[in-house]
Amino acid sequence: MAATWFRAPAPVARRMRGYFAPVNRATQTPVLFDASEQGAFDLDAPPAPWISLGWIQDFTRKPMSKTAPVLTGIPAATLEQVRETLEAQVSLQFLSWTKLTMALATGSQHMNLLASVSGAAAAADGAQAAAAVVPQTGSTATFVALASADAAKFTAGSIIALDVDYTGQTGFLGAPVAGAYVRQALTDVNYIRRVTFNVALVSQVNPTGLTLAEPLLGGAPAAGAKLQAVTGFVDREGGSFYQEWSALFVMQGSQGERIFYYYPRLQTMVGAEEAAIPLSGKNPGGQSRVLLKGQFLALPVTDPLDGERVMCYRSFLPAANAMV
Amino acid sequence: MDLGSAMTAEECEILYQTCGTQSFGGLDRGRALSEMDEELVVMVQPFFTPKLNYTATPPAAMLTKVFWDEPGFTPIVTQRDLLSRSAKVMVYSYQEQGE
Repeated sequence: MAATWFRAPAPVARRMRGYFAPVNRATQTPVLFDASEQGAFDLDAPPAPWISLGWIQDFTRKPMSKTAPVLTGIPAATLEQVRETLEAQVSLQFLSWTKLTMALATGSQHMNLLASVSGAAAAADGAQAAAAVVPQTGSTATFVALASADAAKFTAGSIIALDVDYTGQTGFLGAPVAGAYVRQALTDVNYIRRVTFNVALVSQVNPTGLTLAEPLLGGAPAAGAKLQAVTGFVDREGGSFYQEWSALFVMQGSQGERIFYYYPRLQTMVGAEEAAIPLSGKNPGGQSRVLLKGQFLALPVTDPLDGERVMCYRSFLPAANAMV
Repeated sequence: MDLGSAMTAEECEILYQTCGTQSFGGLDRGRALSEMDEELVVMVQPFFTPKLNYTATPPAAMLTKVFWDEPGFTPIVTQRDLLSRSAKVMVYSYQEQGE
């Protein structure tokens, strides 16, 4: 059967979608994205372990690599070019505020404000937290089994953080997403639950446990994990920790073509910053939408195909019947 | 065929109106119009559809897709008991060979 074809025009796209996957910080291992195998995925249901960050806007790539000429002859002329430094930056605005987007757009640890005990002394990143409760067997990524007395401490609509106790570990903390790097042992037993990405909204409470509105990033609770209520989030300007993630950005063209930008390793390179966009152009001083601004530095990986060090893969899946 | 320079665009205006329901004496006309707004937003998604040639029977699928922007809603107009509104959508298409 013969095919007919057309010469494809420049892609026309409405918006861009962003996706997150955790980098194993200890081994510097990113999550792979293979456009040949995974490129046709449903944009609302990305392949595991990718997680949607929602729509983004003002996506800008800035190649910062420097090249230098190798000169020869009199007068000197360029014989070859060599790449002196590898650097690339990405900036964007997230259109939603979630634990993930806030954390990625901030330049340091992003912490959960654990619900405090009554009368605790105030602290900028959360007072002494109320005691954690222990999940029972039978818990999954979307259901935390609890003793009925513990379940009664939570209400539908509350937020929970679930992770293990801090027992003096140093290095990267949190799995599968590292939330902090600790150089010297701390004293707060709740520290890992303060920085964990294992957070979720409780959609239903019953005497046997909590049903979650979204699956926990780390899946079913690990052995030794405990649960605490979260009232919100806090991040700080300063500090020494850099968030790092594998990033995937997707533009879907009007003819079904897709453009992927896959950054195996992106690190935040500026502190937390917001952009206020007025809801009405006629009233710039009125209500404004506050967007999270992110600026990231792409770190290189070594491509096992040929040993080249690269920072971004741009893949293009053409429209059906388009000439290539 | 080079489609890059052969794009056409046309504005499509969709006008809709409601008096509400008799059982509520028309007092629900605002809610009814809001429901129609939502129906229209659902109708225009996804923002593309296959382009078909209706000069043939049955219609023949062409190579490209027709696509459009998000709708732009105009203010509500009140005429006696009737609430109406229109939504404008810019529709784009590449002209294929033979069109």
